[in-house]
Amino acid sequence: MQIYYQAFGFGIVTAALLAVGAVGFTLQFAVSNVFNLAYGSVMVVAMYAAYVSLNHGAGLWGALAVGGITGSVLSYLINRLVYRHFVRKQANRFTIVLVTLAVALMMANLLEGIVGDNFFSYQLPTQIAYAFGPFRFTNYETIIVGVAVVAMVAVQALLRGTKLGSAMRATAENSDLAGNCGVPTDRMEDIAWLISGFLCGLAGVSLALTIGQFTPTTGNVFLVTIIAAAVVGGVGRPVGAILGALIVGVSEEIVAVPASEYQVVVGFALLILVLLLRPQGILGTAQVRSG
Amino acid sequence: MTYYVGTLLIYLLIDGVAALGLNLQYGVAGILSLGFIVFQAAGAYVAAIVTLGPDSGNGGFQQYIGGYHWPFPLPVLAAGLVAGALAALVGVVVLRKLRRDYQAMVMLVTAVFATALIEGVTTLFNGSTGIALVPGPAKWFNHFGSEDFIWLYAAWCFVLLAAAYWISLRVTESPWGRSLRAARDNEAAASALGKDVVRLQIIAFTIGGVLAGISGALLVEYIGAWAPSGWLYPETFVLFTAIVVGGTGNRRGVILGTFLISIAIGEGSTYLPTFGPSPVFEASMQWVLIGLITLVMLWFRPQGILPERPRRYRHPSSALATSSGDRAASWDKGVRARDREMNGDDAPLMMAESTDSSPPQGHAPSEHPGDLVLRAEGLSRRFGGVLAVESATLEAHAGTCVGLIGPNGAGKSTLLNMLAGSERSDSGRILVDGEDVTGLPAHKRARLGVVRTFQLASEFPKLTVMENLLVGSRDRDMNSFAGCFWGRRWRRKEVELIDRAWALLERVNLASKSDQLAGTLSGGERRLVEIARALMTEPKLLLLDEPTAGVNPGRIREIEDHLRSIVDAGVTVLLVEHQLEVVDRVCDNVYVMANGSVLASGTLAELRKREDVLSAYFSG
Amino acid sequence: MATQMKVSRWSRFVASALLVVGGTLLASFGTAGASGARAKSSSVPLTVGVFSSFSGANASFGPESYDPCLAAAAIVNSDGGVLGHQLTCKAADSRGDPVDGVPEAHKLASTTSNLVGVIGPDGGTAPTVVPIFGAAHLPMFPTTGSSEFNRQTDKYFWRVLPPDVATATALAIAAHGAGITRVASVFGDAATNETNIVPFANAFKKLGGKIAISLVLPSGQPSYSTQAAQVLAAHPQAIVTEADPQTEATFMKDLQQLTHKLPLIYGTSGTQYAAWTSAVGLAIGAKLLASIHYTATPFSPFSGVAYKLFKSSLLKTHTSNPAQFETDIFAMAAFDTVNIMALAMIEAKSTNPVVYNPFIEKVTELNAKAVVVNTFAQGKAALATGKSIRYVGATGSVVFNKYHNSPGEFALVKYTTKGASGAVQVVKLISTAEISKLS
Repeated sequence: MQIYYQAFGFGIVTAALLAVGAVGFTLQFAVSNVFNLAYGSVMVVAMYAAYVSLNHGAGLWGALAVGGITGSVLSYLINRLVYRHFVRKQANRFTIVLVTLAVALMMANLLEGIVGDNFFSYQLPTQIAYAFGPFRFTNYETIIVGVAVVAMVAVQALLRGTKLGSAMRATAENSDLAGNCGVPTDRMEDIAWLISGFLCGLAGVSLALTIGQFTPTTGNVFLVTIIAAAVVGGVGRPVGAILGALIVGVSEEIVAVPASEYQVVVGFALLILVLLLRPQGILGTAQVRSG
Repeated sequence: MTYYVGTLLIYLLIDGVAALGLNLQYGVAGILSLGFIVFQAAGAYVAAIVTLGPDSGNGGFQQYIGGYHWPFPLPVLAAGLVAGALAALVGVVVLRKLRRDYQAMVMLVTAVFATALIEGVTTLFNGSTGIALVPGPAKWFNHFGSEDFIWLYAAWCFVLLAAAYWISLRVTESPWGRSLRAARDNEAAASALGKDVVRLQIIAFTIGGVLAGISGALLVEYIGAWAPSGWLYPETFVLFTAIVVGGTGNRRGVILGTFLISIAIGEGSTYLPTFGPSPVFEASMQWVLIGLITLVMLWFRPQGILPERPRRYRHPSSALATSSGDRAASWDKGVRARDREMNGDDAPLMMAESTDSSPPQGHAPSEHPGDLVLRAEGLSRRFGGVLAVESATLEAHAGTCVGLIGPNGAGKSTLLNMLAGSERSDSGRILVDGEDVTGLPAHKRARLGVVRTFQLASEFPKLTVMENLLVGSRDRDMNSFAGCFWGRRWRRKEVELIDRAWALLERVNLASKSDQLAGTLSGGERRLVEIARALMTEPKLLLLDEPTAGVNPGRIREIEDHLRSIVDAGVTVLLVEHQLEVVDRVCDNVYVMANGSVLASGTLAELRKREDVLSAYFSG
Repeated sequence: MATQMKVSRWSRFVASALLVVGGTLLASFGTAGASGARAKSSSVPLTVGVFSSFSGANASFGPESYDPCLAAAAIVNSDGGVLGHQLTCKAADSRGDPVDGVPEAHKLASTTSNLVGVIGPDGGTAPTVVPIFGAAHLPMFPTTGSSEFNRQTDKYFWRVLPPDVATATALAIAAHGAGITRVASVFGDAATNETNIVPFANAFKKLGGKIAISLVLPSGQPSYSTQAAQVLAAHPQAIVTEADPQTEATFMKDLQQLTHKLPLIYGTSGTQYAAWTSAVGLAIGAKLLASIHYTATPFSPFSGVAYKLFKSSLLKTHTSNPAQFETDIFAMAAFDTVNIMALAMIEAKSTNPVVYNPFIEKVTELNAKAVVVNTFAQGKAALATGKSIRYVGATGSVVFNKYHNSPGEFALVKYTTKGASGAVQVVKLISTAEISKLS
């Protein structure tokens, strides 16, 4: 039984990683209607940026910040330079998905061309997990969970509690209408991409931190888990993404106790289950097709 | 050399089958099937399992062996069936309830997890090792490795590619396929014409799955092995890129695209001298190139090298007939003597030449003018915290035009959506001809004769004007999947429909543009196409959502005239409209909405005198 | 998504169109590409194909064979070539799966001029590609460890390194010999990893050992903490393992965070290549890894003339990072393979694969009269004087049995962190007899 408690604790860490990633992913979708499959590549670029900053003595917090900012700027640029033009040109969402794929391919492979397929690692001192009730966390994991919680609260506070947030939500809800009502929708979109990009970068650096090493292909599988979490929670719903991340993250770790090799499959099983019961995701609304 | 060329040829043919399958799903039905490769994999596994003989355990290295040893060509058929069944299952789960982009994500996730599942569960199809030593039909042709076998197998693949092409042709070019393409272009508009979009898509998705399964079986029977590393999810992306480059929706374009993508970056580049520090670097750069080609194509020529071609129809008795296609001509053969006097269902509604009170024709309009066609009672709809429509009640009598006016955000469109069935109502009920339709989805209401148009232009842009109208056909019999393969069932009726469509187009002065893609028309013309299309369904109740929106003011008058003649022909019309002059000239009775509720009703002249209406309307 | 994405069979699809339209054009293309070095030598160069994964999950396998091939070819060429021909290497990307591998194999066999032999195929493609090369009468030196080839009968098949089952058995013997009786078995879910699980368990149990826990890790996950906690709870003396670098590194990192003292790591030969040691070393610290990591690997002395020549010539190749293969047994085997092919051709006095194929056995077999040679130059000189030779290269003695397998000795080795990529220390030898007794 002890092991299940422990697994739950580990699941919280995984969930924290997933939540940061999934909220960023879902935010991009909510505001721009873009399923950004290049998200994973941005994550990896942020990992490398943080790596470079660490080698220049930035320290852990500095590296997290650099990773976040890299993700932020990169996401913003991708949206401004590529996605937005395609969205304007034609409303076809499928085309946009293919566009994000193309961007993902180019970015990931350019990076691989530059850094090679060697392994990299943040040179930080090793830490042993301390016991916290039945759970066990390392300091880094505590930081990751802490950063995730702060980021989530901050995003919620921004969206719910500020004028900027309501303008962003209005843009997400109905861009045309918001525009008619005087909301500068383009600016809102830019801000949303900056914020979601920051979360993306944070998720990347946190991931690199927990797995101990990374290559340009790190995060391929992780992106899919992020998407699964976002879909389970209800795409376009930040709170849903957090919930989805918790459910997927924790259940993946718990399932690893009796059946390690099925760990990955759990996320999928959950996804199917949720889709059958609540096609719009746990918190999703109006995602159901009409007719 | 024979082996190499032969193998490439076989792969080409097999991938042609798969490409046609994906084109059906994506190009024709508009489903972004990011998990396509899974169906191919399923077919391959099935074929492998049923082909392997009892002695194929390979010294215990293969665990998953049924020992069925089915003879050629049964494994291919089984593969197609099982993959099709899998596609149907996925389709029912994914297509039925989810929005389209959402569907794409779910299918992508499915593809990734499918590999993880097979790899993780080692007893299932031998896990990541995969299945090897699949005998294939070699025995039936020759022993593996002989040159004759390669050519024979290529011939066999060619036969199947031809069959796939034929199926694809039949499905796409039939009235059923036309409905499918219409639903691809505008789902809501297709449902509003009575098309069961989900059903259409599930069937198309299934056929695509069958073709994918067959391609997988052909592949595994040729190479003799199948493993998860051969069907990772990115495989699907390359296929998509190829289709987009070649020309989505165009069968030949699709096959051409698969060539070109790979000539540039695949096979061709391996003949270039080695560059960069390692072969690994080259592989990366190939992918950068794939990405770049995709982006450039999507930006500069999103329709592909060979775009989907407009289907042309010729009207036999019209002088306006323009450059006609051979295909269309063949439909006319022998059916020139149509009976235009045919009474009942087939007489076009707008044939009411003048505005005199010719009796309503067809089954659609109610028997006695003045009967209650529509009655909505206490309809309410809440979005989050906002009550968009509150307890709205309205009525429409046969052969009249009812106007629905009100300031922005009054709830007019929401009410219309509820009446059409594209938005559910939280409370209240809707009666059409006294029959309760509250629980029916949009396409079923459309089949009962409640047909709507949309506030935003909702033509099917990649269909011609003529095709747009033909989609409006109510004929369920000819518009069925089985009908695709039973040409005689629909060709005859099709000619009659073309005739009716021509009459409608001539009436709205669009006959000369019948072969143009509807997406290329002006705003006013699109409106007219939309209205004419709705009339093709022989509606009893037409719900028009701001038909003058986006129309050049000079042409509004024209639309007004058409609306009036529609009403005079006996069709009941509910008109949501901003421009009061239009309502004034067309409608008999008018409802005013404000803040979600119906404020008043009467003629516009009466309403203009009411203080509350004026204040709500003009201050609000 | 980079290396996991594969250009895939769509490429072939296309090329076939190209070929159907103008096959001759392509043929001339192929010739041009394959014979880039024509200018220098009066005669045509001979090509050794390297058929392995250059992309996909096992993208590191390709360079592991390709770089040493270049190294060996350079030496052969500087020592006067083979019967007046220069040697070149040509990479062919199997992408590690049968679907992509089959046409690539046909292409390599059909469009490469003067192809004299192939290093490969690798594990993922071997069952389907071995018959293709066999039918093309091409001597091949597969890098697969799959035991399904232990009793194969294709005469063009020559496996230099012992199969996985032998590796797993050797690992069991080595662990048992070191006094370990209780282990955790932790393997990745890739095909090449999983083949070890059962042979190891069988051998280890026969020796009286106990598998305290057995886990399969799904690859690429962000966390294996739960698995790590379970492993620790089972209190093993050692972890017996093989997984892809990323998965293994993540697992080890998670393990390290939960304990002050990591169990020993007993890895198969699949844990001794550079990508693995680099990834795991980065995750838990290279020093710590070196202190606890043991590997059962086909024997190499890691010293002597042949090894030194291998190392020096490898480092001279202009590839991206040849140093990573310095102590890599698969790279050494590839290096030896090229030498064996070259010597066999010289002894056969023919570059025709059909003619020289039987001589592959001749230049390696145990024969009292034969002169033992360690380099191509030595062998060439001895053959010139009419003597028969026995090549003993960087991987030590290669002796083919009647199934063209070379069972060979094993060694338990330990990597130390001296130098750039680590030096190797042989802890213990495991003889062929010991292994065959248990497997």
